[in-house]
Amino acid sequence: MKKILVVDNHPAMLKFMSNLLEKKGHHVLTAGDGLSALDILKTYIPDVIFIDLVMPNISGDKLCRIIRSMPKLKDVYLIILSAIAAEEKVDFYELGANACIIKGPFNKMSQHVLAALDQLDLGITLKLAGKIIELEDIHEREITKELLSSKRHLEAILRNLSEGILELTIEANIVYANQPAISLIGIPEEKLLASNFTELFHKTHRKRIKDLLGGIGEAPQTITDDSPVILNGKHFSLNILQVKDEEHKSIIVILDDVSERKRMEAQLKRAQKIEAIGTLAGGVAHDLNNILSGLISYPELLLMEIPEGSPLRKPILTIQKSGEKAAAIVQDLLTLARRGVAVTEVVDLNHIISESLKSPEYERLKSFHPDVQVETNLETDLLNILGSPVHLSKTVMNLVSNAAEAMPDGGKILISTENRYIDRPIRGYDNVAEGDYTTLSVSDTGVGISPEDMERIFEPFYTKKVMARSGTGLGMTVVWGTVKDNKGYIDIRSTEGKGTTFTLYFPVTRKEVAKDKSALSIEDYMGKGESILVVDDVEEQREIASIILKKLGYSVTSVSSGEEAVDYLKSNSADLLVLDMIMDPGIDGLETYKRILEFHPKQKAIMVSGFSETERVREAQRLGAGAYVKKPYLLKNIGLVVRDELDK
Amino acid sequence: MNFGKLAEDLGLEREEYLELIELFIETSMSDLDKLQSAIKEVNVEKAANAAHSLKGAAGSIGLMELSETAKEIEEKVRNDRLEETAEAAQTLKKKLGVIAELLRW
Repeated sequence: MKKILVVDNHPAMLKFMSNLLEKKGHHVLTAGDGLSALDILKTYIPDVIFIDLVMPNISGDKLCRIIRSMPKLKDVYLIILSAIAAEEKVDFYELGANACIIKGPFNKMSQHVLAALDQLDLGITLKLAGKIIELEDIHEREITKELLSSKRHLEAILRNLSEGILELTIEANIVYANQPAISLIGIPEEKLLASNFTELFHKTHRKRIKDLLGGIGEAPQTITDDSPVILNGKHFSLNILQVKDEEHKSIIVILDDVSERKRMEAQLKRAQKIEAIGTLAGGVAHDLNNILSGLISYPELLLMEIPEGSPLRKPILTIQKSGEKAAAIVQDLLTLARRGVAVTEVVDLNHIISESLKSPEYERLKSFHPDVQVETNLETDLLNILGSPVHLSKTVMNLVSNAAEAMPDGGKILISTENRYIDRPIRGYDNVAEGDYTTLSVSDTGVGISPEDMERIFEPFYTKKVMARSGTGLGMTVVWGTVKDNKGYIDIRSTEGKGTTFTLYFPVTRKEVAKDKSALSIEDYMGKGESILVVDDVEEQREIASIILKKLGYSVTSVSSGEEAVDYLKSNSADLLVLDMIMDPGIDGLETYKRILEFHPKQKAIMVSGFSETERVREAQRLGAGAYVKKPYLLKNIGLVVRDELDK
Repeated sequence: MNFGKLAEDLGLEREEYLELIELFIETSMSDLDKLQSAIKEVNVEKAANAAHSLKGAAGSIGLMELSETAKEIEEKVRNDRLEETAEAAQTLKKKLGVIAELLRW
């Protein structure tokens, strides 16, 4: 007597098989589909299982695999009993089955079924494996082949979707999963099938899923990507719909992995926020910049007038220093406005780092944090990058100072540089595109950054520090702005309690670092009485420029608009124009220069502006204008440029 | 129709055979309903599946004539001649009805 399970969706087939087998004294149970079979197999361990291939609720081939993956059933004798086997070479051995019988008229089938069982008794199972018990007359091959190929066609489509598709019974047991669903959920098919969909989720999500499945009716139910469910560490949106045909209802679940989309959205939002605040800050900074010109330029002029040893020198020097400090903050703000980055030079990052580590600022930092060790590991043949040395050294210092402050009890900071070729995009805080990079990493062994802080770390004025001691609240924002202005990327790896590593990726340049100009004395750029026309709409600016240039030995005239300048030059001449780029109202620097060129085609000019080089500046330069000087300017800057241009 | 003879051909007891054929009729009626609605809806896949199931079951149980008719329907459906199958489906239904009637005796 054997214990036998027959699985087939045709009732007549089940009846025939149980009659046949019971008459031979076997104990027989039957199941109408794969899922019910698995239910029975929870408590019943048969010696032999007959399985039909084409069935609803877990097909025969999948059922075979599931059974073979269950340790307690690994020795059961599996016989496939199918009509398909006649048309299609079924690789039943690959399915884990021991034999395969082709369906046909009952009289033939009973012979084959009994023969298969006899062979099992004789222990010649191995001999049987590999051989399909054939029918003498096989009809209709072609037709069923078509049926099979259309099924396979559908399966190919399902396999290549990006969404995971599951079919569930009304009780939420999984009876079908396409390939993407299996890999998204991360559970092998033989475990996934017949398991309960709700149980896949963490306890806290189950009620939500249950409610969703419970609410299913005519209308589909959804979990949108606004509040996705988490499964296998990924965020999913769900679409759940009911399908009905004459005999059974089932539920289709469409799983859409929205993790990536969510991440991109968050990244974009973050960048937009920093940009928006940065633009605002930049706008304010631009106005401040003009006001500061007075504070920086006048002390310099005053100091030239006041004799050495005057008691006034010290307070005036203090005013000048304060002005320069304020200008530095304004520069930070302008960096954020992204238009404010003045200089792009070929830079050796190693040089920047070693200079920064010699700076007084660094010494002060060391004295605040005596227990912090700083080590460097710099690549010897580091490739150059394009950037602003001032901002880059600020970036280094800001990162080092943050690292030091993350270690109140002391620790180690490692500054390293590396040439790196990124051959496939990295997905981290930023998405790093493919290319050649010079990287700067600053690691600490400090407290780490919480995920909430990580979200906002680059926002202006988002600080965890004591403002008075540590700075402006703009440090990290400057880091961000600097990296973005250099078309670079940022990656942050942080573990709370373990430490943080910032890695900045800068695209390399193949240009060489320009040699430093030797220091110049004022004699090198003194004027020789040449005439200069200053065009600026702001009165103080005109005055500062006039005083400086007169000091340098030029003959200076000034006008307050582009139109005035054009008029003036119709009846006068000037060796050089000092043109403000942005004048409001009225025509701007470029337009002014264009109009003057119409009647003075060789007119020399330099340009000044609070903002950085713009397309309009470059256009003026194409027309023949000379260098560009950023406000607020020092005597030396403008003196050099004016001299250069006149000497051309 | 001689059920005794059919049973004998398949190596089955008459009583057993009658039981099986009753199950067959029941399932096949539902397959046939499916087939007819599929023909109406012009759903090729569904019609072919229903005809295929009918063909197989009828063959198993020794009702070769029914099996042949179902086979013809399946072939036509597969060859884009769905509209020509309505009559054959009706014939199948009638035949099944006749067998069901006979069984009651």
